[in-house]
Amino acid sequence: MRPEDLYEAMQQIRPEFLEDLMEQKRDKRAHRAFLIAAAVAVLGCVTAVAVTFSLRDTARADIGVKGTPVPEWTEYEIEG
Amino acid sequence: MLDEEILALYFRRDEAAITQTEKKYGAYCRQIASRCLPGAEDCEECVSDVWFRAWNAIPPQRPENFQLYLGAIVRNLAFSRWRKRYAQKRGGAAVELALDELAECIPAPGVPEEIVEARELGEAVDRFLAGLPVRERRIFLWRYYFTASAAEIAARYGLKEAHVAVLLSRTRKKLRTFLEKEGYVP
Repeated sequence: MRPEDLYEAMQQIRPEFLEDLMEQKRDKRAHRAFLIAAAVAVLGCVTAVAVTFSLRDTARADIGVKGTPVPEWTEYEIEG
Repeated sequence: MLDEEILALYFRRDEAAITQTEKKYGAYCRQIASRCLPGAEDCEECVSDVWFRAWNAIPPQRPENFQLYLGAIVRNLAFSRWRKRYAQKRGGAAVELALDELAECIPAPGVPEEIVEARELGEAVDRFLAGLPVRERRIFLWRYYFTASAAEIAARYGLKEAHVAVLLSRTRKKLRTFLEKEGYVP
């Protein structure tokens, strides 16, 4: 037997073993795509939160409201 | 284009099938061929032969996994071509290094060669691979089926090249022991 025979004999192995290698390649791509999508989603959420809070603070500053809670929110609260 | 669509072109005997196959799998086939054939011209001829073979075989054949089907054809053709042209005076192809490594699994030169049925040996290798842990099997196949270098395999699995070399060496030893047990190696 020569090494060439061994190399050629590998042509006989079951396709599942090779399909496993190919699927792994696809898995890796899917994994990378998922990571990119997750990173974009996280960035989007952070931006949305930042914009919301800065808009709220700006709006409150514009109308001269300071402190929390805003007095108008508790204006009609029934005490006791 | 999806493989199913490409195969449909073959079945309609539409020559666009070859163009689409080349477009999708040309680089993949060239990469496999180039590991056996050091010359670019040889490599190109080999890949053209692959398209020709596929055109003649489909139909009636309908490969379940088109990529692996093409990979098997190109591996076969490139290795046959290497055997004809470079086996005697080696040309520096990557496959030569892989063959040198595989030589560890078989009797040393000087031991009378026994003619082994390729199919039988293939079945034995298949049984050996089935008994290997998944990671070792994958690394072994990348190296000795697709002739990928240790560096490529290391990059693929996030390992160090030296680690891949150690894993491959261990698997070769296991293969030798397996072949001895099966009676292929004296």
